[in-house]
Amino acid sequence: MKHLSDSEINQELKSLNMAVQPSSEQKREAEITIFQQASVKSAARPSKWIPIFVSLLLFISFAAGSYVLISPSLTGSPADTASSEDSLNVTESWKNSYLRQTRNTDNSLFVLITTEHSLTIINEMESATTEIDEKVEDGFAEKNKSVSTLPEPSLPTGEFDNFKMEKNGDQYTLQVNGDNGFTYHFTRIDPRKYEGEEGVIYDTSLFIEDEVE
Amino acid sequence: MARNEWFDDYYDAVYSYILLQVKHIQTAEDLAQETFIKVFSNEHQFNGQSSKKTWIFRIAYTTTMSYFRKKHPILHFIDLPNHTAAHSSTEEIALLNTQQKQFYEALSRLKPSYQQVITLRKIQEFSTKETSTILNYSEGKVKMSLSRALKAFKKELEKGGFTIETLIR
Repeated sequence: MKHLSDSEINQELKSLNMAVQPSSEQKREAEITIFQQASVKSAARPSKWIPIFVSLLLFISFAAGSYVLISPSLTGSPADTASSEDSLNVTESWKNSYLRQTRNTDNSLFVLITTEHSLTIINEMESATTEIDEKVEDGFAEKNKSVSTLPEPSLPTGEFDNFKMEKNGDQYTLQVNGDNGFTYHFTRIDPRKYEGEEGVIYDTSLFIEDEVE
Repeated sequence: MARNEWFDDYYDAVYSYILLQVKHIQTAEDLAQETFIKVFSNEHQFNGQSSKKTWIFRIAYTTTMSYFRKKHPILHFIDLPNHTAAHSSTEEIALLNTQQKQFYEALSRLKPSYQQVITLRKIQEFSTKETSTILNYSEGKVKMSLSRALKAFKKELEKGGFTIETLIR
């Protein structure tokens, strides 16, 4: 048995290639299928800028949404919230009530007393007369200087006419108009406890729950 | 170059190349069509670094390999001849004479990488460089594979009782 030469093998392989060519019918059918599918694919292919545009639109929507949720100027601080359209006027409920600072600071122990027509704010620390020896007082102040963390409330003292209290959720806004007018915000933290702007806690002996819309 | 020209010039070669690997007419038609759809979808990526035929055959090669990888992942991975697969008989594939049948069957018994290199170098007549581009081999690997593949191919032919005397000229 003789071995085949490379040229003989090459020749036969080419002959094999000729035998496995597609028929003209096969080629025509393939042409129709390929060009139909290629045109459908081209037509169905979305433009390159569409995904970019959609992504950009989503990003802008997300950014705008986040800004609206986070921005205090748009969402409203407690003050704005209280005076917004959702606020309830609860002045009637707050008439004839008594609100007292639970723990005094170095200089304040506020009490808020309301009647039918007026609001009186007293700082009991200011009105109190103490005769503590100055040395003792200085020593006490020095010792507690580093641990004293309670801020001083910014409430003015005096008697004010025609106060108004508004509520929005747990946020309360005390509003007094006129020359000595001011606005002060509370947050209800318990049924009878309210936290002032500086974190100072006030409580009342009554439940002030009735709301007048 | 118009798409019609690409199709007219290269469809026959792509189809026969795929048919010799998959050994099933319908599958070869499907894969050849898939190849040309990919060619037309990505024609803008053809940068002229190789010939058009080489570029199209690279796509035909990856399309066929992807088909084998899905159908016979283990055989494909270890590069074994696929004797267990249900191939069409030679009569179903083409009208081959006795000699062509013996060549076809000897080629089928080789491992896939040998079939690839013989088909591309000796049947499709690509150069070593073009074959290396299509298969993503080095040129040295193509040369060595071809040498081994031809040796194995001759052995297979002789196993089938084929000798130089029986060769019809």
